Amino acid sequence: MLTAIVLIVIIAIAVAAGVTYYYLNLPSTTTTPTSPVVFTHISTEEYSSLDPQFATGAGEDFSIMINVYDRLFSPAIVNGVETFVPDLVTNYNVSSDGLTWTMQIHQGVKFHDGTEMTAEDVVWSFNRYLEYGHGFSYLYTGLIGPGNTTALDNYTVQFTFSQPYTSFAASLVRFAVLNSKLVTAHILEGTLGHDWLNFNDAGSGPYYIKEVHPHQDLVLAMYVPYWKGWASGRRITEAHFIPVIETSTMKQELISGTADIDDGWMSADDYRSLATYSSLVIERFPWVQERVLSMNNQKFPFDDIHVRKAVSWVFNYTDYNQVEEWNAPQAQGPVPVGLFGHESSLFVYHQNLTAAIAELAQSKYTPAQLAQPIIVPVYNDKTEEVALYVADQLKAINLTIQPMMTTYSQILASFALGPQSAPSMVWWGNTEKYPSPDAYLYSVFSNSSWGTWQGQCWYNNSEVQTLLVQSLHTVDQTQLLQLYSSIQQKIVDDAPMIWLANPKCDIVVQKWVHGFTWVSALGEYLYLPNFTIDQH
Amino acid sequence: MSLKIYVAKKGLEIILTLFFVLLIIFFLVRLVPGDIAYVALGNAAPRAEIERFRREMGLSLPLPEQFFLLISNLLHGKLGISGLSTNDALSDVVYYLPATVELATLAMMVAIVLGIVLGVTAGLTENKKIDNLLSFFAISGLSAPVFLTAIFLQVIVARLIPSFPLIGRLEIGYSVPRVTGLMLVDTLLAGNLGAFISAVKCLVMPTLTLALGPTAAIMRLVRANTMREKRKSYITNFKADGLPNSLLRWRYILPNAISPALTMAGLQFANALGGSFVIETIFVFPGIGWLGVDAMIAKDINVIQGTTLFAAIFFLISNFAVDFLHTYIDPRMRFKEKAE
Repeated sequence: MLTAIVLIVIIAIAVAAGVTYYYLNLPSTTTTPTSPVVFTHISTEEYSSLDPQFATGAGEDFSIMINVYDRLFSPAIVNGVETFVPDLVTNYNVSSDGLTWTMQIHQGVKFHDGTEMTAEDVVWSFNRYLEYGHGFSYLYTGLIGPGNTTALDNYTVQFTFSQPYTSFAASLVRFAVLNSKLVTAHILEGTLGHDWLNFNDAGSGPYYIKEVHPHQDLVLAMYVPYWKGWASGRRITEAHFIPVIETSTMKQELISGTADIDDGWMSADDYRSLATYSSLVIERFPWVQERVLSMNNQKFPFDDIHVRKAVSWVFNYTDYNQVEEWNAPQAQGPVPVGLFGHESSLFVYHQNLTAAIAELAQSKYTPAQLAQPIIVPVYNDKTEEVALYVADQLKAINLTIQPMMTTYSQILASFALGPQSAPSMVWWGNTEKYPSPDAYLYSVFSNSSWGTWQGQCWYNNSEVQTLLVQSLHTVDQTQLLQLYSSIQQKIVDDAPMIWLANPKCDIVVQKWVHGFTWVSALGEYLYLPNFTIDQH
Repeated sequence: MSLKIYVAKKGLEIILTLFFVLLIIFFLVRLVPGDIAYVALGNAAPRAEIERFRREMGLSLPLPEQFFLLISNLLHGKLGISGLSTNDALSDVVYYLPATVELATLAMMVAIVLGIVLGVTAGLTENKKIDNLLSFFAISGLSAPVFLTAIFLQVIVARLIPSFPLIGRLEIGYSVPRVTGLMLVDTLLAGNLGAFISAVKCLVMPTLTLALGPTAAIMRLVRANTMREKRKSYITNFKADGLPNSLLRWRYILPNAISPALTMAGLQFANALGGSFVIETIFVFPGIGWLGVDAMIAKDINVIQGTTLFAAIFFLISNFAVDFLHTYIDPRMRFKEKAE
C-alpha cells in the first residue's frame, strides 16, 4: 500500500513538473503585445536618485542622467584626449576678463512633454542647481550664485561670475537642463521638487523614464521625436537598469544572456573568468582614472618627505599592475594619461631598493620610531588584498602596515575630523567626473579640499597652492597648460602619494550588442543611442 | 486561564520583547562605524551639507534623546527619515514587505507539504534505501548555507534553461499596477496571465532555496515522530486486533506524527524571513531583506531599525500563533493551562 502511495506521489509530482515546464516555456510573444528592442544593463550599484542634479559619485546616476536629460556640454575624446564638446550649446564665448560666459542653445529642442526648451529653462535649472546644493554645484561655491544667470533672449544664456572659473564649460557636463514649467508645478514635493524628480522625468534626452521600480528595475523608453534624430540600425527602444549586488548573480545573468552589459565594477578575476565564454565580449579601454596610494602628509610617518619618497621607490609597480590591475599601465603623475592637461614629461618612480633605503636614512624618524605599525583602513576584500600587498612590499624597508577593517562611510567621515584622525594611508580610485585636470589637481591638492575625501593626502605646499588658485582663474589656454605642467612637476617632487595605475576599464557585452563607444567620464559609456542590437 | 487573559499576557510579552529588541538594535546600529550622511550626500558633499543632514536625521542629538525620538516616532506611526530614499523608513519597509511575505509564505507552504510527505515516507520506510536517500537529502538541506544553494541553483539553471529568469519579480516585458504588492495577486487582479506565469517563474528559484532548510528540518522531525509513533504499544495492540496497516498509518500514526511539525513550521517561518536577507540579495528580489542589506551597507539607521523590528515582529507573531494553535489542537496543552 505504502509503495503504491509513494509511486502515486512520484508520478503526480512528475506530471505536475511536466505540465509546469510546458507552460513556463510557452513562447513569451503570446503575452507580450509588442516586440521592443530591449537592452538590459546590470550594475553592482543602484542609482542614488533620479533627480539629475543630486548625485556626485555613482556611475549609474550619470548613465541614467545622460540618457534622460540634455546637457550644455558633453565629454568626448578628441584626438585621443578626453575633453568636452558643445552639446545643447551651438556656440559660446568668454569675456576677456573670464567673468562672463555667453552661450547660445539649439532651437527646437523639445522636452518629453512636448514643450520647447528655452534659455529660461537653462537659467531656472542652473539656479535650482546652486540653491539645491547637491551634485557638483559645490564647484561654483564663491564663484557664482543663484540670480547671476540671465536669459538674454529665448536661446541665449549668460553666466556672470565674481571670479573667473576656467573649467566652467568642462564642469557643465554634469549639469542637466530641466523642464522648468513641469518641475515648478511640483516644486513643493520635497526640496525644490526633489521627491517628484525621484520618480518622474523632466528631461529632453533621447530616452524618457517609463517605469520606476526602486531596487528592482528602471525602464527607459526611446523618445522618438528626439531633437538630434536617430541613426539607422536596430536601436534600443527599451532599456532596463537592474541593480544586482551579488557578483555571482551578475556573472550568471551575463552567461545566460539575460543581461546585455555590465557596469565595469567586477573584479579582474571575474573578468578573466568571463573572458573564457565565447558568447561574451570583454571591451577593454584605457580609463581616465587614477588608482593611488594616498599618504597622509600631515601625520606620522608620511609627514616626512623622505619616508614618502622611500615608499615610492620601494614599490614594485610592474608586479602590482599585473597582479592587482590585470596588466594596467603605471600611472604617470597626478593627472591621468588621456586627459586634457596631462604632462607627459614627469618623473615616474620605479622599484629601486637602494634608493629607498638611502631616502629612509635621511628621515627625521629613527628606525625604532619607523617600526611602529601604520594602520591602513580597509572596507572590502579588494582593499584588504591591496593592503596586504602593500604591507608585503614595505617590509623591505622595515615599515609595518596593519590593515584594519572598517566601513567605507567611516573612512569618508574620518577625513572631516582632521589630519590626525584621518587614515595614514589609503588606497583609492579617482574616476573622471568631468573632463578637466582641476578634478585631479585643485580638487585633490588644494588646502581647500582638506577634510574631504579628495584632500585625503593633506598636501601642503604654499607655492603649489598659489599656482592651483591661479589655474582656476586662468582663461588663456596656453598659459593654463603651462600652469598645469608646472603644478604637476612640483607635486611629483613632493611625492605626496603613490600613483599606481591608470587602470583599464573592462565591460562585458553580449556579442549581439554593437556600437560600444568609450568615454571615460563616469557613466558616459552607456549613452544608449550609440548602441545597436542584433536580432537574437 | 481564560482565552482573553492568555492573549493579553502573550500580547504584553510581545510588546516587552519588542521594546528590548528595539533597544538592542538601537545601540548596535550606533556602535557600527560609519556615517550615513556621506553615503547619502556623496563623498564630495561640503561639510556644511553633511552637518545639516546629520541635524535633520537627529544624529547630532545625545543618544537617550535619539532613542526617545525613535519611540516617539513609532508611536506616531513613523520610523524616521531614510537617508537613502528620503522617505519615512516605515513607508519603505511597508512598501517592500509584501515581496518578503509572498516569498516566505510560498517557501513555507512548499516546506510543509514536502517536509511532511518526505518525513512520513522516510519514517515508514525506516532504514530502507528510500529512507537513506531522503535522510541524505535532509542532512544536505540542513547543512548547505542558503547562499551556496542559491548560487548552485543559478549556475545549473543558467546553463540548462538559459531563458529562465534568474532575478527579479517579473521578467522584462511585463508590468502590472501595484495593488497589494503581492506579485501573484497583482498579476491576477490585472488579468494578465502572462505576467502571472512570469511571476511564478521568478518565484521558483528563491522559493526552492528558501524552502530547502525548513523542508529538511520538518522532514527530520516528522520522520522521527513517525518512527516513534509506530513503535508505541497501542499500535501493537491494534495490529494484534487485526487492524489493516493502511488504517493504522493514516488514521493513527500520521496525525500524531505531524502535529509537532506545526511548532517547527512556525519557527521555520520566522527563520525563513531571516534567510530572505541573503536570498533576496542574490535573486534581486526586492523585499525587506534586500532593503535591510542595502541599508546596512549604507548604515541607513532608521531603515535598519525598521527591517530588524519587522523581522522581530514576525518572529514573535509566528511563535504566538504556534502557541495559540497548540492550545487548541492539543487537548493536553489546554488541560495544563487549566491546571495552572
